Formats: sequence, structure tokens, C-alpha cells
Amino acid sequence: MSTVVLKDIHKTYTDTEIIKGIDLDIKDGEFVVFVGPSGCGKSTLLRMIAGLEDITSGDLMIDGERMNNVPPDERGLAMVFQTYALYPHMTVAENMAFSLRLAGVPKAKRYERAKEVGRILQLEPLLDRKPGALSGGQRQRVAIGRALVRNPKVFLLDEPLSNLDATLRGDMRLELANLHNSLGSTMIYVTHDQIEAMTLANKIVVLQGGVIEQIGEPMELYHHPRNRFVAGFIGSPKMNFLSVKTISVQDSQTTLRLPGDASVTVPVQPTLSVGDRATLGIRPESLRVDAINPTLMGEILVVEHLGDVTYLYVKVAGGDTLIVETEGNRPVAVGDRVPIYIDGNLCHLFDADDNAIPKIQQQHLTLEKTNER
Amino acid sequence: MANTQKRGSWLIGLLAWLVACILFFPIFWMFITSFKTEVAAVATPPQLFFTPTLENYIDVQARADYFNYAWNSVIVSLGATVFALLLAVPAAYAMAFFPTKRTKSTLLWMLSTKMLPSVGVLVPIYILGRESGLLDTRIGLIIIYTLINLPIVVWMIYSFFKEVPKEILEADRMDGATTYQEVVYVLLPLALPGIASTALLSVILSWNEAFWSLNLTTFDAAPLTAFIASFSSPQGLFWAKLSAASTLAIAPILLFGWFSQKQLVRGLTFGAVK
Repeated sequence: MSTVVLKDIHKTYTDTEIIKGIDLDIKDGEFVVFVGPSGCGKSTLLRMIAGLEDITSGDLMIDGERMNNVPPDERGLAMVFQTYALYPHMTVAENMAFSLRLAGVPKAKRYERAKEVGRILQLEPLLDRKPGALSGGQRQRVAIGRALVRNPKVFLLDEPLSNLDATLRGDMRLELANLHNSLGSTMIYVTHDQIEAMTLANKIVVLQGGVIEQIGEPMELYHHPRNRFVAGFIGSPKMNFLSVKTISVQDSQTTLRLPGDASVTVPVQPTLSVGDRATLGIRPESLRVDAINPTLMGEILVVEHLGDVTYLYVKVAGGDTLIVETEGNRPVAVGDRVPIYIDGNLCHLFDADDNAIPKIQQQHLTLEKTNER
Repeated sequence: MANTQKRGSWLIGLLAWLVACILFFPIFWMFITSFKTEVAAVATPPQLFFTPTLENYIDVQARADYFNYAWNSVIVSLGATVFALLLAVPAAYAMAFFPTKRTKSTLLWMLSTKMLPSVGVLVPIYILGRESGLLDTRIGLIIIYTLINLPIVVWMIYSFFKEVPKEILEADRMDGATTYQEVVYVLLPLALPGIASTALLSVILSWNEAFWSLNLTTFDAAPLTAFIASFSSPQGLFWAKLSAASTLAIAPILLFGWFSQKQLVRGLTFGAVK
């Protein structure tokens, strides 16, 4: 049982408010990811939970107990730092068992525990080495091991993978996911990488400018972004946005004029009025190159072949550039004119304040289990 | 391209040797003079080849008890260094990791005290020493040396502490370290090369200090700098004896510096190359 509850948390550094009122409920065993652009306050928030930063106002509850003024080590947390922050003068085993040493655990017992954790993380042959003699991935494991040794109620991870190269990052991501599954402990993870957020989280908290933009499961954020910021942040490559003008509003569908002269009908609640400006959002994977039924024409600026898919950067009327995902073997070249089909059912619509306009029918997040077979 | 680079480094090497020789020459000359007779010591042109004699060393030891002075130097240098470190480590810890708005100006102010000419405070210090009975005592000298070296010692340790990544200290706080445990188990081991070189520097500065030792001591607490000074006299032949005394006075610190050279250089360039 380890829950973390934030109630109206604020943080002010000499007149500048960094965190502007965060309410969050983290359940036992959840893997929560704080994600957002740099400077959004995600690391500060994590450090406030850790006790490394003071909380200006609001309540931090861990397992129902107010922790605002409890020192870091008594909160039952363990933290993995972005720079690993290993003790360079200690061996791997000493690094991992340092908290036990401080707690007065006898040497033999400490080593036993370090060995046990070393086994889980495949660090056994390295226990007597110093951090300087380890690779980046191994150091990262030691940092995780140091957290594991303490048997914490909650793991805090501050961009733990950002110092690793791409391949290793993928591997470590998998290991972290496995670790979470096998331990079942609550984890709070900070990253600016939306792929890490999507792949690891049970619950993603999207932050911007010290406020929460949206909280939800990864697929929920992907399909039902609450506003334009979340829509643009989640998903890779990012969602395309086009400025549009409302030309007709009915109960179950709204028709919009795109730059150029094309129009798209989107099944959303009738909250706009005719003539309103809005933003149409459409993911690259929802766009199609379609010669029979084109919505608009565009000119290819850049072609990115990824193997299985190809991304086209297409300049359309009005000067906007759309990213279009197509099959990997499509014969295309820079300068080609391509017809693009926009399916209104797959579009998102945002009002002038960048808030999403609810759709008539909610997209199913995943297929029903029975359909999977 | 490679050729000019090679020639450049060769030239720099030559220059370095030249500078080193110029710096070393007085010491070399003092050393050989100490083995000359007084007459040979002042001969013109100066003699590079002569029959060495130990009579100066015997004379020097007969006139003054070298070991008394040397022992005072050792006690005072080490004592002042230990005291300075004991005061500087907590001060630097606070300034490096819990800085306030005034930390920078405090540091500058400390350094500025080094700019005051010592002679400016000679009279008050002398009177204070006399009134408190600390004149010509080792503890009196230790206090003075601690105070004059403290700004440099604090500055150096402060900059070494600044090199320690903040996250490592946060990690130990998460691991449950108290301030004392943090300093002893994490910070000091990490900053050890820096602290060692600071200590070396403090020992060397204390060992070589002459102004206060000459003015505040007579015999009981007089260190080697006073020992050398006692061999300069306004008349008569004294160069060879003075050289012998000087050689004896600088030999310990020279050997000390030589053996710890690696540590010293590493400490002084600590953090320069990451």
C-alpha cells in the first residue's frame, strides 16, 4: 500500500511561481510519468515529492500521512537521478548498500543485500568495481540498484534514461517496465520523451508552465487530448495543425473550410458557430495519399524513409506543412505533387482557446479482447 | 603543419627548462655555497669548483640549536594547517552548498584581508600577544598563521567543494545521511585531493612565513625562518654560514614538497580538465 496524493501544491522561487497548484492522486502500484517540455516544472515537482525542494504551499501525502516537513530519507522513497549520482569513491556494492550503512546495518548483512539486488539487476560480477569502471548502462543499473536496496514505498526516477544512447535506452526501458511488473511498487518517472511516457506509464501527467494539462492513460491521451498542447505533445511525429473556418454547424457534424478551398466535416458536438476560427488537428498516420478522393493537393518538401513507413513533409495551400505517413515502398520524390485525403472522422478539432471540442462518439482506446483472436 | 607544431613544442620545452633553471639557480648556488669556506664564498670571480667542507654546518649547529627551530617549524606549520582546515571545511561547506546572497561578498572580503600589509597591524597584534602572554609561544604563532592562511584555505576548499556534483549530495540525503555523515563519508573523500593540496599549501606557507615569526618570537617558539635570520650579521664573513643555515631550513619543506609534488599539482589543477 503506497499512495501519493498532491493537494494544491505550489512552489515559488523568489517571486517566480514554478508550480501553480497541482492536484494529483497516485494509486498503489501505479507507474506515473510526468511529461512536458523543459522548464514545465516536472523535475521540480518530483524533487518536492522527494523532499529535496521545499513545498511553498499545499499538502503532500504519502500513504495518507502529510510529508511536507519530513526529511527525504524518512519519506520511504528512493530516487534515481539523471546523472546517476553514484558515489565515485565507493564500489558498486558499497554504493548500493550505502543507505544500509547509514542505517547501521552490519557489514555482512549489507553485502548480502547488495548481492541480492545485484543478482536482480545482473550486476553480480561488478559488485567490487568502482563506478568509473562501468559503462553508462551499468551505472544506470547501479543507480536503480541503490534505490531497490532500500525497499522503498515509492520509486522516483528523474529522466533516468536521458544520458544513454538510443539502443541502450530502449533496452533499459524494457528492463524498467519488467522491474515495475515484478516489484509492483509505485513509480513516479519524469521525462521529456513522450515515447518513454507512452511505453512505460499507466498514467501520464502532461505538464506545462507549472500546471497539469491533462492526466490519463497513454491511449486516452493519444485519442482524446483535452487541448492542442497535449495533442501536439503526445504522438510521434507530432500532430498536424491547420487553421480552419467554420462554415456549417449541425447537431452531429461541423464542416470546416481549410486553407485553399477544401472542406472537411468532423463529427463533433455543435459548440462552434458559423464563421468561428478553429484549429483542425490530424495525426500523420491518419492522413492518406489518395488520388481518387483527394481533399487537397500538396508538394513534397522532404521524404523520410524509415523502412516500414515513409514520412512525407507536404506543403499545402495556405503555406502549412503536413506530415503524412505512407507505406514504406511508395515511390515518391521531393517536388512531386501528391493528393491527400483527410478523413473527418479521424480529425480533432480545437476551438479558438485551443481546447478540444468533444467528439460525438468516443474512439475505442483498444480493441475488445474478443476481437483480438 | 605537424612540423611547425613539433618545433613549437620544442621551443616551449626549451623555454620551460630555461625558466626552471633561472628559478632553481639561487637555490643551487646557496646549496654549493654552504659547502665553501667563508673566503671562497665571497671570492671573485665566483668559484664553481672548490674543496667542499662541512665546517659551516658544524659552526651553525654549535651556535644555534637547529633541531629546536626545526621542531618549532614542524609543530607550528602542522598546527596552523590543522586549525585552518577545521575552520575552513565547515565554512566552505556552508558557502558552497547553502549559499546566501552575501556568500560571494563574504568570500571576497576574506580575500581582501590578505591585501592589508601585515606591518599595518603589527603593533596591535604585538600588544595583544603581549597582554595575552602568547608572545614567543607556539600556540600564539599557530593562531596567527591559522588566521593569515584561512582566507586562502577557505577559498581553495570552497572551489573544490563546488566541483562536487550537487546530485551526489542529494543522493546521500535520500539515502539518509546526516550532515556529519554526508561530510565525512561522501564530501571529504570526494574532495580529498583538493583538501590534501590545500593542506600542503598551508604547510608550505606557514613554514616559509617570516614576518610574524621574526616579530613575535625570540627563542622558545622561533621557527626556522628566525634561525636563518639569526645568521645574518652586519659585519664579518657570514655568507657560507648563512647558506648552510638556509639550506638546513629549506631542506625539509623542499623534500616534503618534492615527495608530494604529484598530489600538489593534481590538487591545484583539480577540475580544470573534466
